[in-house]
Amino acid sequence: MSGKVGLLASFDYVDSAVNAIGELRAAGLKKITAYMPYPEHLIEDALGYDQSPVRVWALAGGLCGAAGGFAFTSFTSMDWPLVTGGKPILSIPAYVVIAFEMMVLFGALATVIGLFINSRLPYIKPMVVYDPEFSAGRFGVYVTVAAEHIDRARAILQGQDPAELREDPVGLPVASSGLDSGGRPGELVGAALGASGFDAEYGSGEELVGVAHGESGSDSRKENRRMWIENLKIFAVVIGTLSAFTLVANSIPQVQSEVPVELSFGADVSPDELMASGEILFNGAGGCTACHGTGTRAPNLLTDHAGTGLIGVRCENRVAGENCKSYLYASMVDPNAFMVEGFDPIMPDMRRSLSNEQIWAVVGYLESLGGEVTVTGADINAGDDGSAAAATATAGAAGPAAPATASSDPIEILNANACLACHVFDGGGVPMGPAFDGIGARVDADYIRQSILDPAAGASEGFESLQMVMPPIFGNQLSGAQLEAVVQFLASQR
Amino acid sequence: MNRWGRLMAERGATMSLRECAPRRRARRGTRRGAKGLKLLGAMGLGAFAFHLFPDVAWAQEISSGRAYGDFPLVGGRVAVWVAAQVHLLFAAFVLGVPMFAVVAEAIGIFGGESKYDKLAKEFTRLLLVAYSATAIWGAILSFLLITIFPNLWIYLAEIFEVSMWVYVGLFFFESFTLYLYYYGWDRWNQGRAKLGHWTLGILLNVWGTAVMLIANSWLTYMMSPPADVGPDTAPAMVQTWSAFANATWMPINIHRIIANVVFGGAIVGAYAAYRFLLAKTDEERAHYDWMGYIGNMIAIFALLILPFAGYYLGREIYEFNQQMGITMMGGFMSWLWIIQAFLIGVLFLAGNYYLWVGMGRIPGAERFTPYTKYMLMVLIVGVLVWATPHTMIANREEIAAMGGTHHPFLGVLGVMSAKNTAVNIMILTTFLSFLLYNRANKNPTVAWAKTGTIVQGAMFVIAAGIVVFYGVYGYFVSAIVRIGFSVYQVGAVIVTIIAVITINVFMMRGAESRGEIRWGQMPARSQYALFILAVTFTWLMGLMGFARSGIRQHWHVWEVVRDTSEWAATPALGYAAIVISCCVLIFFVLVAFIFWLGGLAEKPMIPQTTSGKSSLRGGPELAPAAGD
Repeated sequence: MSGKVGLLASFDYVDSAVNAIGELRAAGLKKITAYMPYPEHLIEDALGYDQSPVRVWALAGGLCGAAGGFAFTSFTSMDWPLVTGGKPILSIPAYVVIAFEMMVLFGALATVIGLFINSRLPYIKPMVVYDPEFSAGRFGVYVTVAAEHIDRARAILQGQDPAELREDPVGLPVASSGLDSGGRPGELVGAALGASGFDAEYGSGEELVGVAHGESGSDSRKENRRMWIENLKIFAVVIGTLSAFTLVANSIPQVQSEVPVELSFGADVSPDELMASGEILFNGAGGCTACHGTGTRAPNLLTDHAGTGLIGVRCENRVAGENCKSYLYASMVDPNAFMVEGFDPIMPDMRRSLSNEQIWAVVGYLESLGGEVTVTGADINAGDDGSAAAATATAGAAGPAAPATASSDPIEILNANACLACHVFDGGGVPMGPAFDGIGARVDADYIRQSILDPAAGASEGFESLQMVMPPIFGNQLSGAQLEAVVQFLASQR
Repeated sequence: MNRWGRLMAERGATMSLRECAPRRRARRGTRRGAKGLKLLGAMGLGAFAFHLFPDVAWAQEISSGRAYGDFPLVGGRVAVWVAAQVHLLFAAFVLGVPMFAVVAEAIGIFGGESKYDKLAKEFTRLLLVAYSATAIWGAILSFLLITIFPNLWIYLAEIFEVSMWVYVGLFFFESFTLYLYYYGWDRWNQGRAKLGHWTLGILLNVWGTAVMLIANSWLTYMMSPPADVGPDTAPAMVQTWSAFANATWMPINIHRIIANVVFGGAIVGAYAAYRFLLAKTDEERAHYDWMGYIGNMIAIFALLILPFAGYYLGREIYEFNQQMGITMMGGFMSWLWIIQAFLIGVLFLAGNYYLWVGMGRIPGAERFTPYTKYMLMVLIVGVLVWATPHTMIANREEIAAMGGTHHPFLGVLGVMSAKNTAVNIMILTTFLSFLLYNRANKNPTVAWAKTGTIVQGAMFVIAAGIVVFYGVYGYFVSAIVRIGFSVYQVGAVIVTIIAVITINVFMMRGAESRGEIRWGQMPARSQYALFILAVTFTWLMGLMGFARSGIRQHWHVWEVVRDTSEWAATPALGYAAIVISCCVLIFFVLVAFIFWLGGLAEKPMIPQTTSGKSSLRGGPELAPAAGD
């Protein structure tokens, strides 16, 4: 820094200042600061200023305002929905006026803010290199150069016939780093500037002065521009990466871990109530599906297991001396009592996380999967140890499964045997296996009969991988009349 | 309110403070274990607090009856979540950075390379500015916990009160050790004083690690309380040491120590990248290029060992409670691991990309350039396999849509055999990238160089063969046998890494240089890769934090203190991702701000000495020094 000096020339005519700036720049001397008593675009052009960036501020502000207007009105409508005249809650035309006003407001505010920022106002640093004459009609050109170029710079300035030319070693640091540290000084031209940092001896700072920084500012301006561009790029990389991760995480199936809802059942609790509550617990807060919904860690309770049927059916025959509900209850409160072969003892005692009512609700739901719900209010209210279940258990119930219904109505048979848990029919059911709608047009009665009695014999096209899901139990579970009623009913569905 | 909460409320309502004291002392007498620790704590900060602030000490006996507080706009859970996560991110940084700052200083001292000493000091400067942010966020977290979860806070405080006092004491020591370490850097830079200074760095790590171990005991207790603690166990009856050294405490400690190094390296890399991009001189650019490389190398190498610590933690979670383990891996969080695989894929790709681009500034590296496309292909295939879902919770409709409980084709790739194979091959490939980078400008001169290279290559091939063999063989054996195969796969990779590095060290002794690394001549895009690495590491920490905390589900303390608040349900991953992204954004904005502040401290204000008055009309002023 000691090798640099500053030259300040004071011109009576703007042309002289403009020519001096042009020649200095042509000579490769870039650190130039210009002073003028009023905004002068010729000097701006000479210093190489580009178009004002304030318009970008106006655009961004306007867009943000419009977007904010729409967002604000939409949010408030959604947050406190009021249906008016049957119109949709989100009614865009009604929001246009507010969005427009917001656009104007934010556009104007952003323009003012942009003007101040690009003009580097307020200007709180002391302007050391300054002459009050620059507020009284003269134009100043201040250039900092390396010591070896001082003669060249002096010659250029002398060539434009300055009113005064002075050398200034002291003002250099400010000129090179303070005053010229970026921004868009072109916007400052002609602006009123309170130079509050002035030495009292040299000026009160109350004069109106326009200051335009040339390449002395231009280099640092470029530097600042580069810095801001890099910052924006980095910000974009960070935001882009975060957005990508957030988007991916929101694109996958969303599963929330629910809290078990406290249950309270009276003595007259209905099977439907138990089933509904149990299903919510089984698929949600009970956490049962983590193991019993996949069939790899524990027997799958939603489908057939090893050809023994759905859980509501197979539970009856699992352990001699235990009926369905007592077996299921015992499996939940003492999981190691009846281990299913081929699985590890990983089941926890569910009493640690579920209440007695909740456990019985799950038992009821599991019974409903292919069987009949036998849990009653007496079981639930008998105590936490399941003693009621044991007391009401029908010992030695092993043997052929009892029919789910005695009716010969095919619709009732389908419902009682949970057929619609896997097949769609007449707008109901789960689309897992082949639909019953139109099944008679696709296959004949013999095929339907065989599929019910021996599902493993063959699978419908497109359902090969689900072949083992269908339990081979209905030959025992249905009476001959019921079977034929179902077969003929399905065969008639064309 | 849980049973303990009710108990607290009843006690608070029916007992006077005077009545509480003797009962409390009686309970104290019944506690077992950690007597020395308690004695120390009680004689120190505890006694001080008791005598000076008795009302405060007994205040926990008073229950307001309010189970939960609230927080405007976002709710109590998110407020605590964000505070805990941002605090943890800063804490991880201030614990990870001292580890390699001390190592770098040691290299500077014992290796005689002053640039490492400068690097260590720069690391520590980052530490200094991040440290206060850590403390501020810790205070925010504490106050939010106290005001939003008062019952939980009282419960934990009653069990861990002594460790909380010790924690504060250690924090005090850590702070002043850090100040001494940083501000004494230039003063104690020669001879024995330098060794003493280095010892301060070691001490800083000791304090920091001890602080982390204590805090880990609190949070791991919430995950895995001792088996004999139940909902009816009064906190005063919980044995201090068994609560402290619970089932997941040590696995978390190990996992976090390694993860902190990874995270610290990544953030240092991002800092260096920022300074590189804004550098004004070639020297500056070269320095920060080198610093970014070091940060990246630390992060990636520590990352290679992190999965093993993760497996250990996972195993201990399963050991503690199968249900918790299954919830984590196969329950409602099962999709989380697909996101994790995606993130780690990004880490591997970005880390390798940085190395490959960096080879452009190494003379001689061009001979390895053709191989990068093959390595890229291997990494992409590995990521795809790793990110393949397998055992997902599915309802009946989804099972139907998928055509079975497993996808007919992808199900084959989603099993652990394929995933273990993929990740081990990815680790080997990344290590190969490092090796090529390391050898790029070197020409070995030892007589056995060719043989050594062939042996190294053969080790890579054999390791890859072992990994693939056991990966394929795993499909034909039972699950219990297949799990054992992962040990062989990991073993083959680790042995190869160690053996190849050992051979390389000896082979490169006295090696000819093909030219100096042109530090600073890196394209800007390589630096953005460092940013992506840092953001991804940070996001991954947030995600894993959600996993660790979320597996407690609706329990404050697993199966002991139930969460009965309105925020008890553990949110889905999409919601969690938004919160995590907000936390990461807050962290990076604050980090950028405090690093900027740190940068300001680098700019000494040099008073103008030449003249107080110029020939022109201007006054004396202060001028910033050149540079930054």
